[in-house]
Amino acid sequence: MKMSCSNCNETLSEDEVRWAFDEPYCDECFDHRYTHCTNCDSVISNDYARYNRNDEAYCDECFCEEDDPDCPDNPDVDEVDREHIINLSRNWLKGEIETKRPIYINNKDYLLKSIREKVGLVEDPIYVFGLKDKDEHLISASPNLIEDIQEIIPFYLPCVKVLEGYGINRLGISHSLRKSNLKEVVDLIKALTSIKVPA
Amino acid sequence: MFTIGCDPELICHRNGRFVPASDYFKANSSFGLDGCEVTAEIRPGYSESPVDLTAKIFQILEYGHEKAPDLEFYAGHYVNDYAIGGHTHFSVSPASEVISALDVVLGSLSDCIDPRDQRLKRERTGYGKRGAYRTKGYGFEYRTPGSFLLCPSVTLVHLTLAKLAVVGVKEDGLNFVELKKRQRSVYFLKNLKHFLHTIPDDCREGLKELDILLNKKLDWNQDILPNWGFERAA
Repeated sequence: MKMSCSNCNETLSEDEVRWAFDEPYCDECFDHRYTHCTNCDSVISNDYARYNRNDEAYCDECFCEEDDPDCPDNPDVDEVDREHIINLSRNWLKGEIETKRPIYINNKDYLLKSIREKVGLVEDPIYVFGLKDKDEHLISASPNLIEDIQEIIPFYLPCVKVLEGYGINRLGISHSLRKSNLKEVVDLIKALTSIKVPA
Repeated sequence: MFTIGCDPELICHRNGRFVPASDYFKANSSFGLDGCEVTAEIRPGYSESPVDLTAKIFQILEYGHEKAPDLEFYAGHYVNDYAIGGHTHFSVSPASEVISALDVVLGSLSDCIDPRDQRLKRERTGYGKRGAYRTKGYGFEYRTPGSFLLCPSVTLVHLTLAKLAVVGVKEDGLNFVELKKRQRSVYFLKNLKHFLHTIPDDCREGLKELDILLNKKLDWNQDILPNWGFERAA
């Protein structure tokens, strides 16, 4: 039985036909418009195909199944990362282990990025995150940090209210503090991360 | 200036025994899987700077370690009967003199620091041959090196020499085949900084570390994580 290509009308024998969404195509038109998912082999339009780093095509569903959205993608590097990697590298050559490293932050918050860079490398890194607030000057500290924070906070941010949070080695800073008291916040984190805190 | 990138591979162990990477990681993520699925592949992205690219690799390794804290990772050329590579990416076209420069410069580094037995085994599988590259949309992928993730220093030096080989050809018009001739690889690398007229600032650290690295005896049969500052899970 003879058919014709849905795009160029070329006459095709049954063996020559390639099907996409119930329409017959010649080889050339099919390849121009469609491809196959590497995982499930379904036909996908080139316009909707998603490609992995090896240029392999996936349908949307399979691509999302095979991806880990939390894994950093071409992550940003700042001055403190450069300093850290060079220290790590030099110390390894000397047979030593580099123990200082940058604090952990939620990378989506630009104010936290600036705090991370200004704090630099510390002995006992903690996780610093942003607290959602309106105008309040607030800090939240995980139970293992709360005593130390209460002891040192009068020296850096005397009028700030400290709340007990959850988890381990977590420090939440309100937006108003991150914005208006950057230097004090940085000094506070430097002081806190130089104290040996039991986990 | 051009960018460099890479997708070095790792073999996973748990309690000292081989485990397939596909049990822990998803194929398309930046701590992902090689095509054969048993091998992990690190995709840090790209940068002009070898220091920055090494720092990106650190971040991806850190994520992988957090996700699977009981895994150990092994680099090299051939581990647990699997050939593992350290493909290195360049956003320039693969001119023959660039590929030759990479063969000479990175080949010399491999002669000095890589595990010879592993390298031979990998070559016997058909991978890791000199001059192996693939043209890509961004430029090309140089496929000869083994996985260089043993430690940050080996990674930084590898990426620095990769960049300098291309800079040497493109900026300084050097012919590395002629420069090396019959010199032993270690002497060639010790003299490399004297051949180069253009040394970008971001290559100075790697060049300094090269001199120290050439005097070290490396043990490739070890979990790479402690070398990158990650503590083993208790």
